Amino acid sequence: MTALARVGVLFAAIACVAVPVAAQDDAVKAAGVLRRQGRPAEAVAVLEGARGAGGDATLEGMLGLCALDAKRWEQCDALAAAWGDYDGDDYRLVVFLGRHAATRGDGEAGRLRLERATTLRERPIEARLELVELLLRLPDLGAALVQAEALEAVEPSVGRPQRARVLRAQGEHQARKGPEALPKAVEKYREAYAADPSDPLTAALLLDGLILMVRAEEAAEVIESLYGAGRDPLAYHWRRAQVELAAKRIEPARAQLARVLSLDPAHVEARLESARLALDAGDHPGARAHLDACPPATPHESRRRLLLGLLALDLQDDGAAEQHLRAAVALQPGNTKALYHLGRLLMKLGRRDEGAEILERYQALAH
Amino acid sequence: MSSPGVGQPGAERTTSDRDAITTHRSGPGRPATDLLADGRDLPPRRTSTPVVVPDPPSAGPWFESADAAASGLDVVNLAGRSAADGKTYLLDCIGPGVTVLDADGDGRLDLYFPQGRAATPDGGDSRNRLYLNRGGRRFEDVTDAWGAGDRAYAFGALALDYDADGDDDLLVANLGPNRLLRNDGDRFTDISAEHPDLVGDPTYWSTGAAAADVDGDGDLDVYLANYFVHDAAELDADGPCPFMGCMVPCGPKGRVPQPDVFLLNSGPPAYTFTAAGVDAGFADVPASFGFQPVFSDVDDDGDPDLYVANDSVANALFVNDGAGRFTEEGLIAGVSVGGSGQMEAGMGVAVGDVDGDLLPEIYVTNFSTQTNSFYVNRTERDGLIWFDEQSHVAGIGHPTWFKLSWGCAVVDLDADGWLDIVSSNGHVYPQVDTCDIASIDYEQANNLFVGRAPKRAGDVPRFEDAGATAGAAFVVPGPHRGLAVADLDDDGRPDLVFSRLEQTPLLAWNESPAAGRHLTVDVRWHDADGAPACRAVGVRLQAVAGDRAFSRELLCGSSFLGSEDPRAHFGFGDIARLDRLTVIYPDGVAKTWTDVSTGRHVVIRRTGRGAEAVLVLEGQGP
Repeated sequence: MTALARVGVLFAAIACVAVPVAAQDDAVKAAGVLRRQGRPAEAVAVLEGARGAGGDATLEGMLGLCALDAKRWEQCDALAAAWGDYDGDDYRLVVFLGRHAATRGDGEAGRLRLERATTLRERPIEARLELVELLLRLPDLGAALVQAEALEAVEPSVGRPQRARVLRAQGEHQARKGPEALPKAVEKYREAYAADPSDPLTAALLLDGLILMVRAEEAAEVIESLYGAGRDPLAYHWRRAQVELAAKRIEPARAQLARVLSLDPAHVEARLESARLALDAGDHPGARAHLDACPPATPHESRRRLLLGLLALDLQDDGAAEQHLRAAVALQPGNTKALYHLGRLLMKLGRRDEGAEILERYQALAH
Repeated sequence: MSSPGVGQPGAERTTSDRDAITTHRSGPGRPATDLLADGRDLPPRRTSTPVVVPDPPSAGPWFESADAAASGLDVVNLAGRSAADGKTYLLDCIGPGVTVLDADGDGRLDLYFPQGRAATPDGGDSRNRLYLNRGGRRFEDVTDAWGAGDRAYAFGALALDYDADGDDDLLVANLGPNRLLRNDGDRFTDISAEHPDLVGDPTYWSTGAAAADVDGDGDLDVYLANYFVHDAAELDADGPCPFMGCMVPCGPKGRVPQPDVFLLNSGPPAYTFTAAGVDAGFADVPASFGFQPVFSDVDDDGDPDLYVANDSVANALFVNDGAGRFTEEGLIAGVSVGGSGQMEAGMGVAVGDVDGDLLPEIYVTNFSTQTNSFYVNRTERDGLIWFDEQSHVAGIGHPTWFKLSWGCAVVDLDADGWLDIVSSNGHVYPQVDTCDIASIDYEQANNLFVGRAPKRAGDVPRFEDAGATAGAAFVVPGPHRGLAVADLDDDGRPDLVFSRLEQTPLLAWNESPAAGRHLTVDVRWHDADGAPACRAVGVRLQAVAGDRAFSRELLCGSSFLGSEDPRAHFGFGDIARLDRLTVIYPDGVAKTWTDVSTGRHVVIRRTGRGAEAVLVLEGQGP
């Protein structure tokens, strides 16, 4: 008999008879099957049917977990209130109480319950999973890593991605500290990527970090493994272009950008980088062509208008320069580069009050 | 200074009956182009049409690196804990400048090296060193005999004739009291006690200095940069500090900056320096981790303006009103920050008229992951002082991105008629070698950018990164810091001296195989017949050949914590004769000589003041 068939039999039994303890046990087992199948609402129904006037800790624990999965918050609150002073050893109930507390914002209470739950089984997979989740949120990343490693020790296929998540979170935590901590962030991303190369977010963060740190060879390896062999030519060439730009290898960067634009002529970032390189080389027509080819109204419009402003400044077209620089500032009020050039331009045009006001804004942001 | 020059024996007085003297004072209503009395105009600004010529093939190596110790320059820099042991304080990472002077007045350029201190109780052999140039590329340590071996922790030194007696005195910038050493002909005498404002606050950490006659009274005034409060106990408590995953010495950010000092020279008879920052307009200037000031007439109005490279905060441009009062205009002028408006860490400064419009460009060395800045001077007469940062277009941006540069110079090393750029490189933190930072090393190769003819008239000057073929000085990495450019062997080709942290200096002799025709101009000013011949700081020289114009300005203090060859070095490619050579003294007295031959060393001597001035061009060789 399949598990599903057994559940069907159980439904029939529940409908006809009073609920003995043995039936409660069966209901818990059946609910467990349904829960693992991602059918928590049905599991709740099974358990409620078996519960009758009241269930034991085992049933109530399973009911609580299923109710949490099914997002039945009122039912969860009632269960948690009923079992609030529980200090017994039923694993599921303790896990439920921990998860419920964490869900309701009481992280420390949740943590205590879940940590206790990890002592109630040899393989407390759910408790550790929930703990990792909770500790990531708190955040207590060191403790999260300990739990993820413990989880990996008993269930590698579940634990390793969790460890990767925690390592990635540690990397992001370092990255938020600023550029001084970037190497530490990248080191964490490296470990996370090694633990779970399938996570695209980790791979992207690692690549970004490697590019910022100009670890060109290592970045190229990651790019190859992620996008190489024809898997994603556009991403491949764009990432390679970013590497070459970071390493200040200008001709290879130009070549990669050209490949990107041959695959996607509307690739805005590639257009803007190409325009920047053209401006740096004094190639005004080239810069103009790239900027004109950008699609309108992208999230990069402030930068495009800034580059158009710089181009106009180079060409001594003060009117166009002012128009573009003002647009860049309007789109991104913190665009210090646009403010700087706009302020100077207004000074040059003799509009000293306007220029001084813009330069004050620039200084307030830049300093 | 009248150098005999190599292969140019004897002196020949060269004057022309077409010579004429006039008073040159530009400024509102007095365009410089009207002011020469020889019937010709000074070269007009921004109208010179660069000759479009193909780039010459890169021939190298240009420079022959000499074992400095074998040349006699045996001073090993001391800088606290060694790099190998990891440095604790920024104090021990900054390193000294290099100072060029003619101490003994023999016409050969000598060298002075400020010395640091070892991390031992006695500080090691912390004497500053004076080396006299004995010719034949040999130097002799005369430190003790000349009384030049002060033992303070020294960073910068400025050679200046503060008392206008015709010889080079020394201002030494220290951690702690500064020193003024008067040149008495055969030794230096410490006269610091007579100049308490120059000695300064004993807690100050002075770095670079520059001098010019800012108020037109005929003597040299001084601007002295200061860095930050070095409090070892406080630094021990706070440090080390994070840098890209490493722990490194703390500062300057987070430390207390110290204000720079402006010192006005009282002139004769006492020639006393007095702090005069308030009267000169520096009162409201925030303390700014100063490194290197340079006086240069950036707006061509006849008075010296002042540029100051500051570490980690905005650089400053102080514009002189002609009476010695300054106004800060760096932000609007476009020289206080990088081309993107980003704050940078200014280290050294060089100026030079790269594009031949008779206005100086400014080159500033910066920290790693910042390009060195190349500010092209676009100032219009009577308009705003205006620069555009053009390091990328000029070809200097990307090659300097990973470098941390200190000393620098804008000089025509191959005499091809286009100014080149040199910078001295090495990261400040030895710890970077142990970090996960790609592309940035503690020991770095120096940069040489060779100036090339613009493709079109009016284009941004362009340079070619020529380090790879220029010789070991530009290939072998090292902990380079200061840089002095001077024609030490008087062969017409400027040589290079780099200071190196914890090592002997690096000497690079210019052997440029394709060197064009040079003209070395030594400009002197005798107040009266028989009076000593003083260095003519602030003099501008302008040369015209066909449709090309060249200009030089005689500085006193530049690069990084040092000072430079006091003579002007021109390169003219294959131009054998100049249509005109004009000298303009800071007081406006000017004179033009015509049909001047190149490939030689000349001396311009001036006697007297105002309309009574007599100017003579003395040349050597054909």
